[in-house]
Amino acid sequence: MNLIGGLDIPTEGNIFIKGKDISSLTRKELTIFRRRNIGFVFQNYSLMPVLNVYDNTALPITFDRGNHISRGYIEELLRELGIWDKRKKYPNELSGGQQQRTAIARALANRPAILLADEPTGNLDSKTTVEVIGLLKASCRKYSQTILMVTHNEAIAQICDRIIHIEDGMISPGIRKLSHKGGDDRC
Amino acid sequence: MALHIILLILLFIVIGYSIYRKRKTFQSINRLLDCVLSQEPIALSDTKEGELSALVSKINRIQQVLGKQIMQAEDEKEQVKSLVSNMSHQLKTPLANLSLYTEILSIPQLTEEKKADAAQKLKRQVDKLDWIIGSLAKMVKLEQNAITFDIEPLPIRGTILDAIDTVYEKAEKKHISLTSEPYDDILLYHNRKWTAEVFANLLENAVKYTAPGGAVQISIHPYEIYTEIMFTDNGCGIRGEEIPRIFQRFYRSPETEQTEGSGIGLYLSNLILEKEKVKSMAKKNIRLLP
Repeated sequence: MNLIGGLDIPTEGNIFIKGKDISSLTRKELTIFRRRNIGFVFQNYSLMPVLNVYDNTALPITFDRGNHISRGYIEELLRELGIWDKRKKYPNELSGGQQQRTAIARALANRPAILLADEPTGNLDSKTTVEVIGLLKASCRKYSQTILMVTHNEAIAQICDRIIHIEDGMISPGIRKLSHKGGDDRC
Repeated sequence: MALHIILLILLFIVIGYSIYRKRKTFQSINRLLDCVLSQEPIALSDTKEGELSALVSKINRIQQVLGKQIMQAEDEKEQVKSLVSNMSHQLKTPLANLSLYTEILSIPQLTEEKKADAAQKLKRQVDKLDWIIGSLAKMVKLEQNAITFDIEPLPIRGTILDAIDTVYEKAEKKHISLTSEPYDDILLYHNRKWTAEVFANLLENAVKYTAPGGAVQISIHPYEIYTEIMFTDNGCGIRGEEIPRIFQRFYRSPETEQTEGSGIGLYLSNLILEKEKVKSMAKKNIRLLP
């Protein structure tokens, strides 16, 4: 996931995102590309401890000098994730699940084309997990996003459109799942 | 005095320059939008700092989303075309049989016995036509989201029993045993009538493609976010490569050429289940209900 997100450089081979070879971008261009197109949900949340929930969520947008903060959308996100009333709190005042939801909100705030999520529901109870997965699916369809999720939870995996199994660092032949309408196989 | 004039000139220069910049920005945005209209790739970079590049990045995405939607619309058009051609194919045989039997019935010297026989066969063909057209209508309506049915938390046992009722006779005739593992009745979000239809379809398939004397089993496993309902049979099974395709409209495996069927059942079932936010999988036919 770090490779796709441009956080690591491959020792061999190329990575193409939207037809562009991202190893051909300079470091600065890669940073900007990542900021505008990719959202991350890390397993350890990586929230800014000095910012409250709201500011943490809006962070990627504030970095981009060309972008404006869409307050309505951020409020909508925070409400959907159930952390709107905690928006002024700081990460050390939140539970693990709330921090995780803040990380998800931050990843979605910029409406990125790609979302990379590492066990995004690991710390959530089952009811919240259902809501979060529902939110991810809805966002994905609405904004034509691609969500790449790493999980060990079979149940979550079943909800996805496509499953790729990785064993010992190698991809094993994946089970193709079915796409939305018409049951037609799309890749 | 001279200072005032210099300041005034500076002011005018600043104003003139901002107007110039504004027009340039407007022109570049205009050019970007033209590219979207004419579906041309945008030459400007989307990986630079600044507002223009951010805009280019966003407009690039809009272009992609639009492109994808156009492709989807064309796909759907093709699907409709193939649907119409498939429909006429499906209806051809029953209709041909219909005209055959009506011709037989109009033979004056026909014995009562033969008449009754032909009339019965006629009725069967009419029933079949009725079923096909009914299913196709349901399918189209579901696809167009013209049907809404209520989904409530209902005990699943009743729905499963409804389905078993429909299929029991056929299973008995082929001496296929229909059993279910003991389970606690649970409340699941579904619509009883439609879901029973789906289960009945799955059971019918199981019975159809299992040799006489075989067994069909239903089992239920509740997990944390969903419940899994599994229908297993020991019939001829589905080949691995075919699994993604069995839910497709009108798909019939080449191995089933000897058995009667229209290829609509699973597709329709999947549509209904999707409406109820259910995921279907086939390794051995699994339905996941939230």
